Amino acid sequence: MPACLVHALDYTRGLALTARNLCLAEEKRLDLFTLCSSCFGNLSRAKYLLENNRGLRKEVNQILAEVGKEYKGEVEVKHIITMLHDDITPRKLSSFVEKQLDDVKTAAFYGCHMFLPHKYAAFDDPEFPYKLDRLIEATGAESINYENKTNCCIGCGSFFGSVSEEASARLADQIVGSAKKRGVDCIVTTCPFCIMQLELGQLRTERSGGEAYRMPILHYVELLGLALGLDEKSLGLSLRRIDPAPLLEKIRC
Amino acid sequence: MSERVDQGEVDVVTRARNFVTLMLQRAVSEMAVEVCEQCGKCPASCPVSRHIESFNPRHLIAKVSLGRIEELLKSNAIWTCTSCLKCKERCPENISPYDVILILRNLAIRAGYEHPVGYDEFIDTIIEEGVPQQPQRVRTRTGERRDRASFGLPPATSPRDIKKFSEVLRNIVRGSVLV
Repeated sequence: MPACLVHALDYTRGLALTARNLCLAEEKRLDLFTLCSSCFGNLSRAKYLLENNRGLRKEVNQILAEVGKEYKGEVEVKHIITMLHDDITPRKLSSFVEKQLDDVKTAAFYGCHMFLPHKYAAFDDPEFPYKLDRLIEATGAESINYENKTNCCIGCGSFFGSVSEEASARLADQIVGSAKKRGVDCIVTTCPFCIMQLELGQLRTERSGGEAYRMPILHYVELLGLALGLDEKSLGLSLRRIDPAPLLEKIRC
Repeated sequence: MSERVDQGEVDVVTRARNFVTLMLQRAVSEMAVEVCEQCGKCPASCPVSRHIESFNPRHLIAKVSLGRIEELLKSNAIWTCTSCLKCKERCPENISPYDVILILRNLAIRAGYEHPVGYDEFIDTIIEEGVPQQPQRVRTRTGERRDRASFGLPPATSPRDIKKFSEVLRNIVRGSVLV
């Protein structure tokens, strides 16, 4: 449930919605696991606020009591990137790689809520995050430095406003353009929302007479899937808005 | 009220609320900037400011400090933040323009000012259907919206007990003007 939207309308009730998801995991005695950096950020934020602010926790639990739930604070929040980097480690991961992606040049795109603010999940360096880069390198691929590595895709928070639509279009253009200039084969993200924004942004640029970047945007798990020898069909890569065929061709060679 | 478990960390929610409340009070008595030094780290970090000149978190905080709250509640600015959280990470005074913006959005909703309709549509669909967008519609690669059935796709499923699910979510969101 995207409480990321509701908290814009009511801070405490938005928090209660997120807390309900934490409760569902708690009841099953499981940790919460996400593929999306916004889900991760939002769940980590709720966990942090509820565990560091007794007053807020009381308010939230009063709301949750109306639906027969209580947040106790026993759940861990994990993202596929935190799990792969911290629990499995890039070193171990590289031992499973069947197809070294040696010639593949990538641009890591972190996704704000994965690592900001540092105090919520304390996952990576807030100014110079590096964990996604290490995971990319575990597949044999290269992760380059470029100016928009930690930029915002403008997918979250404001995508309903006409003003931000304009900002979003310009920003996607800037992010993809700067990666293209460095000659990468694809951009690798931690978040499905970033994928959507960066793909749609490219199509918008193209439609309005701008450059046709045709830059494939992959979630890290898709890059990893290719390195583990999974075929592109089972990875669903043929369904993408931007055709990753040139990247796949390079990997096959 | 809150307690500080982490000594170095100020509780952001309470602080943002207190800040806006205090500034509202100040607006009718005296004018002073509370804790913001107007250092400019927030607009320098803000990805929106770089592209949309009229959006500037530093100006926004200054307006709150000057009590120009109503002006902000009526403006596009509070709905333009993308919640990337860079300002929150970098503010040396722990003010977090992001959290102040969230509180202002809450105020705008309560006071009945206009807000982007997408929010209501999105949340209503989740409460009623269990998913963020009309489940039987899909968007094609070119951005066109069509029925799943027109592609021969099976119907998408909603939560098993959608009635109970809707009721629970409605109860949690009750109290805001949304439902």
